[in-house]
Amino acid sequence: MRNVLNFLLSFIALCSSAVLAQGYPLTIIDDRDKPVTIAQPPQTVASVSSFGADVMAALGRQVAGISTLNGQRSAYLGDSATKAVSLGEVHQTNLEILTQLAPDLTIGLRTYTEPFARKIEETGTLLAFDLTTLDDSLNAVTLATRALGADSQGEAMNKGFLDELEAAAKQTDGNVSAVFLWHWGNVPYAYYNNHLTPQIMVRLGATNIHGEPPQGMASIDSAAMTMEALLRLNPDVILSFKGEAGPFVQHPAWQRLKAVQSGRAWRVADHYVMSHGPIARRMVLHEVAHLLYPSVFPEPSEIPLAARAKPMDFER
Amino acid sequence: MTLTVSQLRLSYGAREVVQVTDLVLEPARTVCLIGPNGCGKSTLLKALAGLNRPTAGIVSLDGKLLGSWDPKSLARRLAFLPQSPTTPQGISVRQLVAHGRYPHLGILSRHSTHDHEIVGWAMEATGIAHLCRRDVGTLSGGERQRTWIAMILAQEAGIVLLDEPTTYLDMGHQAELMELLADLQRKRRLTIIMVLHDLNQASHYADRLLALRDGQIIADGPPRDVVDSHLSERLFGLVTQRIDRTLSGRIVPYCLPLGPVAATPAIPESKVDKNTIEPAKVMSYLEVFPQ
Amino acid sequence: MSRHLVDTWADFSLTSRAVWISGLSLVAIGATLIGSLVWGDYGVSFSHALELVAYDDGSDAAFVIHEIRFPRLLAAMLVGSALGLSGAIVQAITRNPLGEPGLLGVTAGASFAMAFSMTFFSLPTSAELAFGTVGGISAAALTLAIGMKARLDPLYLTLTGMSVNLFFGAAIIVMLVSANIEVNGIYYWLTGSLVNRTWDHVAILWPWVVSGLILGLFGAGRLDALILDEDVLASLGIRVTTWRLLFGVVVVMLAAVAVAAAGPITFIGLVAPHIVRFGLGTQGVSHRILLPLSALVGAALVCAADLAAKWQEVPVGILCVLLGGPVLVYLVGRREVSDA
Repeated sequence: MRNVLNFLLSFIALCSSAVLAQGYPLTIIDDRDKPVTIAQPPQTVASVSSFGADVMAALGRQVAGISTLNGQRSAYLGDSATKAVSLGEVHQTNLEILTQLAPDLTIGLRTYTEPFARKIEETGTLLAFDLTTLDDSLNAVTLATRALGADSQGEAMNKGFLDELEAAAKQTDGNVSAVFLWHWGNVPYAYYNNHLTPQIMVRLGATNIHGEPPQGMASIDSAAMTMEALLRLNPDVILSFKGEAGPFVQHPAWQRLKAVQSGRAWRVADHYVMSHGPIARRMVLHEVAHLLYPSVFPEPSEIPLAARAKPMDFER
Repeated sequence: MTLTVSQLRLSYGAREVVQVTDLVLEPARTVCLIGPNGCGKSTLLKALAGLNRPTAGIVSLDGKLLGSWDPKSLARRLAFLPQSPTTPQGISVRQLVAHGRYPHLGILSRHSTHDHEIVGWAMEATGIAHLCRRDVGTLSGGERQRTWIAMILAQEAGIVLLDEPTTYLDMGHQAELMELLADLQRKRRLTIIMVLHDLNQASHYADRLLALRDGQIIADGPPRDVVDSHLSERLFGLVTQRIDRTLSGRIVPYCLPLGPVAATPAIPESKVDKNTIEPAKVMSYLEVFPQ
Repeated sequence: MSRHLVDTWADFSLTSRAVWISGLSLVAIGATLIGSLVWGDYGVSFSHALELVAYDDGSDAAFVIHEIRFPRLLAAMLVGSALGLSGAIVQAITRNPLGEPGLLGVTAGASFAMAFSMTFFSLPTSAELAFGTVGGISAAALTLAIGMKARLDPLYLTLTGMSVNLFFGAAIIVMLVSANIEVNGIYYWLTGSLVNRTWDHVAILWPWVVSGLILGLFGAGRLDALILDEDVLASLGIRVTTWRLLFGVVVVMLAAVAVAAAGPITFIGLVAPHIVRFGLGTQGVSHRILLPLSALVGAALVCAADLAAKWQEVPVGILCVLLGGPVLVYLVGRREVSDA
């Protein structure tokens, strides 16, 4: 009886909160610690960075405007954002185009939107998110879907992802080391465990050779790694991202790394850096699982060709 | 060692500043160029040193065009000291004088014992040997000018051209310097050609005076022949009264200023005696300060 | 009454001071040599590192020492000596004690060429370095060509070089801002760095630097005269324009390859000769002594800065400025006092 009563009470609470949540107008506190009031269901949505477009695509909707990186929209989104207007490079959004678009809602990275918040909020609302950790991703998906009136889908996406992650983790024995690098010129920057992508690797049982960020510097997600350090740590798998097109800068140390020698050094697409959207994180999970444990996980087929991992190519 | 000028024209851009038809400068003489500001005397001097390219005409040394001499060979024969050369920072007197040996050095620019000897001699001759280790920036004007002269001497050039060597020196240092030059000229049989702004100083020390006005030579000869009020009026617009002094057996004219040409008509003619007068015998510097 | 006029005492103490400075620089270089070979992220013990210097056993540790640490140190030495020497020469030919080797437009020219190549091409190291060196030389050639109108008059040359530097500096910014790609790596390069400089870099550096050093030292005697006025120099029979041009070429060679290899850290070239003069206690040092010592001090400075940069992974250019800035302020202050 008590169990039935508890169940009924939770059920009523759940339903009422669901009803309350889906009702407009609603207020969301974004990562600026600012309450943002959304009066109506947003019709046109702009995405500064690929996260917003990712959420929209996951909900089966079209985003109206999207940022580019190196002149291109993220490859992993496939055709879902082709009709969106380009807002210019993610770190220098073209405000003229954005205000011309006049979206009801702009979802963007806090570092790139907060400085222009006032301008953006002249014509619509802004939800600005910090996107580094797994928790950032879960939180942002929850808030974004709530703003779009799709609370239950948001919950389902988060729960689904965590369930998949756990299930995959159970199938691994964790005997692999890896590192995720962003190459700036000839200097590789290695990501710490706080970033979502290495966190996925760690949850899957791999060791991120760069480990945790140093004491008291929890806000930074990456730091330069010398070739010497890379040689010393010698990971089994290397995942490298480079902003510009073209081969990676050559250095004799690369050829001595076992990941390069055994063909397990991969060039990955930009959704590894911006992996916080629901589609991106699933793709990263599937692909990383395959790259780390090829005998256990098959190559994922849902990733567009342009966004799939390729072997790292070096100059001459 | 004769400098010859023929049909010379010198210009600054489009403006012609000097025209000298014929000039032969004999060796072992002191020649002074005088004239008002902007008359072209410095320009002419630089052309004689080979530092200006003539618009027309030639300047030649021993029959060969200055421009066609190898720079080092020319430097061994001809030395030029500009007006107020920049004092180099932080070098010693000896280092500066040693630069004068440059035209005599070989490809590696190493100073030999002989070079050191010449430098030493040059400093002795100009009386600055006791200053050899001093920083040139710490010298007085007179000492510094003597250092430059020592550098020129170290060059061992037979012809020395000086552009206003006494400007910015006080009266005493001026006299010192001029006596030094006269002494060197006598002992070493140098040819000295210098631009001076002081007519009387020029008269005192020149064997030959060249007076320039508007780029042309209007008087050429020994001072006693050319210096008088007529010359000072033509050059400087200044009416003067000439006094003759006899120094070491030479007649040296001295022009006492009376007034600008425009102003003198106010003075009655009878009061102005523009003829040469005989003053009491004036003693020369050497007679007062025997060396 | 003839006196012995050779300054034996003054010359002797100058020589002994010069020996001290050389000794100190060599010790500094030696210490950084050992420090750089032994210390690094890979982690090799002191004794093992020294063993591996002599004997390459094919292990990763030996690889680190022979292929990563040693070339980086050599690059630092070559770049530092090139900058120190060319700095001393450029200060003489422009009669500007605040002159530095990039003054003739080399810095911005080489930087622009390197940034251009990093943005639009993906050249192998040697080709990229050659491109950067040629870029620096071209910019300087432009400066010298314009300066020839005034027979390479020092002030004119300085101003022209400054304009060329400003022009190419602006060109770099325009290119980086308008290129629609990720350019942060290039900004990193532009601060000056010796990170990941390999034998490819050393292979390009050493012929240029060694020839530049030889040519510069060979002509050192003539540089002494260049502080005098134009007219005085002409009177002494010195072919001023020719010598300025020849020395200018040496400066450009050394500076262009140094900037292409390490980025714009030409500040070293300004500071090294002054440190030598300060150490010798006199402003008027013969260039026969000043040039080699400036090269040594320059090498010591860059090696030390690079070792410190390794410790903190800070670009060596920042350290050079942190070191050079106060030195420069001190020098300017001293000049005002001495001019008073």
